[in-house]
Amino acid sequence: MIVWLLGTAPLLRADASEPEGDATASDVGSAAKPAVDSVAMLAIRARLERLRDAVKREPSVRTAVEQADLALLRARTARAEANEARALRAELLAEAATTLAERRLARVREVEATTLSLARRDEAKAMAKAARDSLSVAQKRAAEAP
Amino acid sequence: MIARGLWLLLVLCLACGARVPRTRSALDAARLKKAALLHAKERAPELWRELEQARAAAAGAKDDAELRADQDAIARLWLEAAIAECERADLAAQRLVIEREIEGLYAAALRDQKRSTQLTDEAARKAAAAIARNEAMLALERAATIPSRRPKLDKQAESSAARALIGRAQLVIESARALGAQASALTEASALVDRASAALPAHSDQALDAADRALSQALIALGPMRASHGAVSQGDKQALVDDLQVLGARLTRGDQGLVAQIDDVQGVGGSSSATAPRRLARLCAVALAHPHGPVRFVVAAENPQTGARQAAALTQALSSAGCTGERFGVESRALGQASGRTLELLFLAY
Repeated sequence: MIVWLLGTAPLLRADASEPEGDATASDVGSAAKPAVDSVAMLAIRARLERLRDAVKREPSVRTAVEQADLALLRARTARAEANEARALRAELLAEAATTLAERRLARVREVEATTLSLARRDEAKAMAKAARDSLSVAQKRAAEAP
Repeated sequence: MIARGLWLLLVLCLACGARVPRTRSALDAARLKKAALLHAKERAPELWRELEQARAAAAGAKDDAELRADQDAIARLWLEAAIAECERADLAAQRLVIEREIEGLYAAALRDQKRSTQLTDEAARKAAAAIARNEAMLALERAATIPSRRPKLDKQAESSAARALIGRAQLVIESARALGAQASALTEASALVDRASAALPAHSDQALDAADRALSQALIALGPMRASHGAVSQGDKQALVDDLQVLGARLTRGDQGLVAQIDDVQGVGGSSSATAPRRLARLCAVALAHPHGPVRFVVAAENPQTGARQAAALTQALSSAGCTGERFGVESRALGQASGRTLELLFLAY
């Protein structure tokens, strides 16, 4: 099993856009059993790639992405063992974990945007107060003018 | 001893084994409760559908522990995703409210700034107008005094006063021309302006007299033009207010119209004269320049006898200044806090 994982490691790093079964012998290693990623797995991997930057700074996203990575690994293993039912379940798991990571990242971004909005609201409040004060001074001067 | 230890281990294992599902189910219950509170089923229906499919698959896999565990894990992930989505939507809704508030605050700030600028500009304009009016008032005061009795002013002050009156006279002449006055009606006023301008460098006192008369003539020429433009407009009312303020009148607006009270007017106190005193002539010119409706001149009187005498003298003085006819009425009555030389003008149409 360990030998197989070592053999397929280059494939895990392979570009997600590579078509299925295009891995060459030099990529995989002649001793390894060629692993085949389904279209669903490739799509999930592409989605995960888009989350990599956020993974570094958001623990909640990182957890979900790690779950998805593990599930993909399980799917690949199961497919290599010709256990298609288990591979499909692992794909479902990866799909769910990836979706969770995406939704959590969206929530994090919304929190950031809300924080910025709150700061902008404080600025706007200060500006409105300054304008109000300026107006009251102008009104006072106008009332005192001959 | 070993057997007892094994039993203990077995009991511990069973306890641990039983605890894991209980904890997990408690966790799921908490998640489900949270999701229910967030209305996740309604707000994230596509995620909820996946969750229900996974739960159904888990329920249908009683005999396959691995399958059941996987489907449970999948269901939990979808549940978490639905919760995250609802929380994101809540935050987005909050942010929308905040953004609307920000928009309102900026709009209010902009409105206040604009209003503040308007008020500042208005105050500056009023201050400039007050300065101009005061200058004109001073110039007219000087011009009204007989040259021999005129307080000794330095040449520069006298020239400045003359220039102020020349400028005002030119403006009135141009206004009359713009309203369609005949050139012949403005000939005298224009000639007086020319004479004042020519005299200004060497004889500022003569320039002051000429400018004063030019202004009066120009105002008289303007009257018929205003009369031909129909009813009294807001601009006409303001123009009359400005002209009377230049003459130092205290103004009040009542039910009857605009009331102007002017103190210390020569010719009002009862002394008759062949020519109308300068200030009275100027008042008359203003009345002629604003031709709408009747004008009543009211002279302050201490008793009916002196009142009648004063009214007669005033009528004569006004007549010599050109204020004759049905439009002009003169009467005398006791005016509160007024001296014998206080005159009140009532413009009924303004």
